[in-house]
Amino acid sequence: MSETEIYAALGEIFRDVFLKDDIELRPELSAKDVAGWDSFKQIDIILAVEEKYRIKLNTRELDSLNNVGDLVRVITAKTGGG
Amino acid sequence: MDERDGELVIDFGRSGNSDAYRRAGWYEPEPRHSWTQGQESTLEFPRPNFPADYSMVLELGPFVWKDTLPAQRLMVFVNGSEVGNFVVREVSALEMGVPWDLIEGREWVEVIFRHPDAAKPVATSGVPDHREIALAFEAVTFFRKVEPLSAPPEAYALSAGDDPEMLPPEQLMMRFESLGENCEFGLAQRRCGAEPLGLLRFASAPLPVLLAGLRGRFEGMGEPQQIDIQISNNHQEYLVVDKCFGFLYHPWVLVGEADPEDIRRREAKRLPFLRRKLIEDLEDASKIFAYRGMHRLPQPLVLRLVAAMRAYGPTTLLWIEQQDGQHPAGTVEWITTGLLKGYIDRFAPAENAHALSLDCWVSICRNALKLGRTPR
Repeated sequence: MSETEIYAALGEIFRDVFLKDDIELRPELSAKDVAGWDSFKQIDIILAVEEKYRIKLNTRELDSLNNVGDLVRVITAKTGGG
Repeated sequence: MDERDGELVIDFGRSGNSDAYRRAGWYEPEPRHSWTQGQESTLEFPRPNFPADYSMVLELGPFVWKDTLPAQRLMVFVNGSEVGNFVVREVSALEMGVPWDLIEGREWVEVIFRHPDAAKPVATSGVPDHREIALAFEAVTFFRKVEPLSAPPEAYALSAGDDPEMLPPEQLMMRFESLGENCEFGLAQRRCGAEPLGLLRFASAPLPVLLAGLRGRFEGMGEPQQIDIQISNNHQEYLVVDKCFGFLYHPWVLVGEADPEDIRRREAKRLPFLRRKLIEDLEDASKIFAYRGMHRLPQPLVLRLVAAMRAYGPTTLLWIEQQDGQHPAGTVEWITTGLLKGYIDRFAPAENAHALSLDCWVSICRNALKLGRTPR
């Protein structure tokens, strides 16, 4: 799975979680940039990612997520893409 | 008596083990406690074999009624010698020392509780209860006293490049995970910009509840039938009650913002995920877990918590208490392997956890991290 495909899928997840259509995903986008992106929303994002890609993120992977780029890297690594 | 730990825990709940130790002066156990009967109650348990001084901790609540009966006096005798004298006004954990020379001469330890203010609720408050009660015992624990450390114990893992002095507060606070008892520490993390994902970060987790959860590996948390959605006392927000162990936490949803069934469905997804993460964090042992009691906690009870945590992995607890004459605010010290104790200038008021002492929390965390720099 390419990074482009992952960004597209994540865009859908973010729209569902935040109920907003105007979030433009880019690697450096982080919780500071999106109103309401707190730990609750982070869990919703992770759960949706785990369900979509049928993967489980371990605690170190979860704690390493500082921005969208980190999330894409973890998904890529766990799905054997890249 | 568990000879490995030098610990005996008597659980006075209905499914507990107190039948083996209760003698005269007790009513039959109720789901979580047993009431004393009359003005004197007796326990007996085998004397530990290891010659040492011991501590005994009583977890109990008094029968009190407004100005008529504001407190219960309690005197504790071990093998005939007084070891404690208390006035109990609220649910408490009472700690007392039991020197070895008091118990070494007999194979069984006899503990007598005298509670001269026992009263009948029917005569005091009008409640149709004719029993003569004084104190509801939840647990009695008997521990070998902890020896002070002469050298730092094993520490949690830190990567070589970490310097606690240099870490920005956001990164610093991500190295910690709250175990309760309330949400003050979780809010301190939020004020620093740290949003770790934690099962108990915004939970009310009194120690007995937390211990039960840890020992049961939080099994069943998140099953829809175990989630109860309630409305807070001020009628402004929803609260989630976990019926497995009794955790209570904030979903941060105001009344009217969402349907309770929607909250239940959401929690049924979130809780199993957070449970999995907490267990991984306990096993991984790279974070420090923070805990504060709503009341001062006796050290033996905190050691029970450490033991329950370290059944998962070589993890470390940071136990926070209020500063005292010997320990100014910000001080952190090792108590024993796996246990750091930090001292804060003040806790947030119970009714407003947001009014917290942020600088002191950050200082404590920085000092705790500094102490743990020895590679494991």
